[in-house]
Amino acid sequence: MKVNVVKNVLRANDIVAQENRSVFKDKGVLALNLISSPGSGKTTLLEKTLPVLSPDKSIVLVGDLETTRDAERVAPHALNATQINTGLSCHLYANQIAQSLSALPLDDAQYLFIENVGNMVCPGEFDLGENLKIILLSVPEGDDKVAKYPTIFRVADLILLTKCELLDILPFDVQRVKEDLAKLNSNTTLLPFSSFKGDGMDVWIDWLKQKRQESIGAQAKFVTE
Amino acid sequence: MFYSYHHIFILPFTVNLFTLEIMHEMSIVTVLIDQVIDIAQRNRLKDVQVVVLVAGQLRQVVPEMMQEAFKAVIPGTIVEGAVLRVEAEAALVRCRACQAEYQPDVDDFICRSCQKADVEILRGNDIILKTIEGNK
Repeated sequence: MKVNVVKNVLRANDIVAQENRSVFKDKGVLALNLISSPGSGKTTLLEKTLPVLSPDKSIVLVGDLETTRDAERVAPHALNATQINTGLSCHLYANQIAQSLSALPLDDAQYLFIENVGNMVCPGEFDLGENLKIILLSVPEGDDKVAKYPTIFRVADLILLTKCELLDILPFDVQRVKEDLAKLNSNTTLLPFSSFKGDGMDVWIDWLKQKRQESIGAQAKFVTE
Repeated sequence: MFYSYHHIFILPFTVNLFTLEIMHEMSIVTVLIDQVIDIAQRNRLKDVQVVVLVAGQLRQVVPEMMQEAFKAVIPGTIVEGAVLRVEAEAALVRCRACQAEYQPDVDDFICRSCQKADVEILRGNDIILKTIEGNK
């Protein structure tokens, strides 16, 4: 017997993601999904960003296969830091975020940073309900990564070129990255960034604040209509 | 399940074991297999012999890897022994600037008409469970 199904396999995840997005909207929280390879500087970015942005208004959800190390690192700078241990799963699912939300002080928060499991492929497949996707590309990874992992870069709202203090030391052609990005998405932005030297921090903080304002503005407009 | 570690909360989740080589496809197959079993049971199938999946070009699915992942998760289920067929679906996009429709390459979305890369995806971004076949 043949059964015609025609069902989107990821539909269940997408539904939960949409529910998460509604929660973020209701609470006035800007949710950001940080995606990158392992070791590109996601946790360091948060350690440096949160004290400048608003430590008492930021929540962090951290996905890792094992350990609580990253949550421990960001906890002193955040309203709440929660570690999600995924076992052997190489990315977060929307229902893992949904299950976490009830324990988070969302009423007191303005920003929710979701540090996804270090991986440039699978996190792109699973919507978490975030407002924006931030992709980190670090200089030591090489300037060929946009061309090699085009799918995740195509959907990036912002790309942080991290560890850019190493541009003077390592061979890395920023122009090559820009050219590869231009083939994928005319609207995305590449921001050179150094967590250690502070390069790009002002622009990054302003960008976050602007995006939250846009998010709240969109919500207010929606309510008044 | 929450438990406190100093002032850190930990949320453990477990999934099926898999090998790193087929990590991406395994992520999708673990979601797929539950749906196949559910549909088979609702249609009162005793077993499942064929599963047909349509994989959009933009979803980075490697059919051979998907089949390996499939084989790894079906033992002990009513899908055991089934064959997974993966049909590729080419991408189709519409340029938001000039409305031209075209088939992009995965690494090149530049509009053939106006040279911008700002697109709405019309096709090729989904993974669809198309059919299953089995015995009643």
